[in-house]
Amino acid sequence: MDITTIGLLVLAASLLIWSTLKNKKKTKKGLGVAKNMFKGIAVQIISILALIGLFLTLVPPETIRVFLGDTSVIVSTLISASFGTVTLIPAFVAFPLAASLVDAGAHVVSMAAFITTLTMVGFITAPIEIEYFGKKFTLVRNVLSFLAAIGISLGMGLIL
Amino acid sequence: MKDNKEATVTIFAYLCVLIYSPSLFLDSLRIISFYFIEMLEILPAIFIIMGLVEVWVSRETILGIFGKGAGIKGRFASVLVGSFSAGPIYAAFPVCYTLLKKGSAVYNIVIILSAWAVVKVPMLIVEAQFMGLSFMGIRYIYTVPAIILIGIITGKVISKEYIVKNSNKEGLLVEKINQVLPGNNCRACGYKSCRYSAEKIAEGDESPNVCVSLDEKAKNSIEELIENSLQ
Repeated sequence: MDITTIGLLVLAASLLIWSTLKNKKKTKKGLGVAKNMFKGIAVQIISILALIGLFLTLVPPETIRVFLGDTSVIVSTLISASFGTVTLIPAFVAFPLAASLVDAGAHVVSMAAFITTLTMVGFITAPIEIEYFGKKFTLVRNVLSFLAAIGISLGMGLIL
Repeated sequence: MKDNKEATVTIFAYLCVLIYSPSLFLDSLRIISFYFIEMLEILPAIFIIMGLVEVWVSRETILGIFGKGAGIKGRFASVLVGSFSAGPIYAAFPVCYTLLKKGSAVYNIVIILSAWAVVKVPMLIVEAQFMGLSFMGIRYIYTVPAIILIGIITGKVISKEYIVKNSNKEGLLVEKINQVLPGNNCRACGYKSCRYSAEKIAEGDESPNVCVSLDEKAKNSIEELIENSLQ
């Protein structure tokens, strides 16, 4: 077990102890919610992980490297950002996917763009957003978020 | 489970590969087993944290903080609230719409929406696990100011009147019910999201009892909404 796993367990345990001391009933309810969320999303997580496994087997690392590794950082960032814009998968599984793409030869910084657009820019969720906030708002927020994702990614390239 | 699209697609895809090439099938299983074990190590803790956050930082708490006002403090508070919430970005739309109606500024709404999506604390831990601590840390440090900037620009370009005029959410029973539901999309009701469950309740296919998180008061208020809509 590495340091993040241990940190996570410590955080979960201390929250649980704090919550139990403060309010037993609320804690029980919280654990119930946790169980339901887990039950609800478990099948989805396993399925998408399995699909990623299949994708990585069928698409050879060379192909991934051609698009996301051999190209310039800017091109691979743009590709990754666009990919993140049109897909809608839980962030949980986006991280192992990104990690496996890096293993296959993708630029690390382009994955920051993928993760940022995946979570912040929503092509599939745009109709819902329009319903709530109108077309102009949705357009402005999503375009700005897309640009920010690219900026964040390239900015990370300066440091990493 | 009434919503198994991904599972069906996956099983079908794997069956095809198994028939086409058993060795490819085994290779895929080998690749995912590594990530799967790593997931299993962290997921229980993540869900416990999310469950506890859900009961301690309820929708009412979030709404309470933002009835109050703006300023620099408001901006950072927006980031903070977004960071501790559960669920994907579309779960934040109804919450943010309610905030707007209650007097929050447009830029605060955008900040909460974005923070809700990208800087979630449980997610940051998963990110550090898979991408490394420095990747996560640096991305976070860049993202927070970026989000605030996006909020300020959007707030300058879009007026509150525009949103209120162009929103289709006014007066719809589904929306009113959706705002009473917890919004965590826990799926205990068997539907893929609270919003979907709200549709079912509004159409009369389900009773408010379908939601495990509602107390009696909340259930009664939904019953009342339905009665009022029939008049």
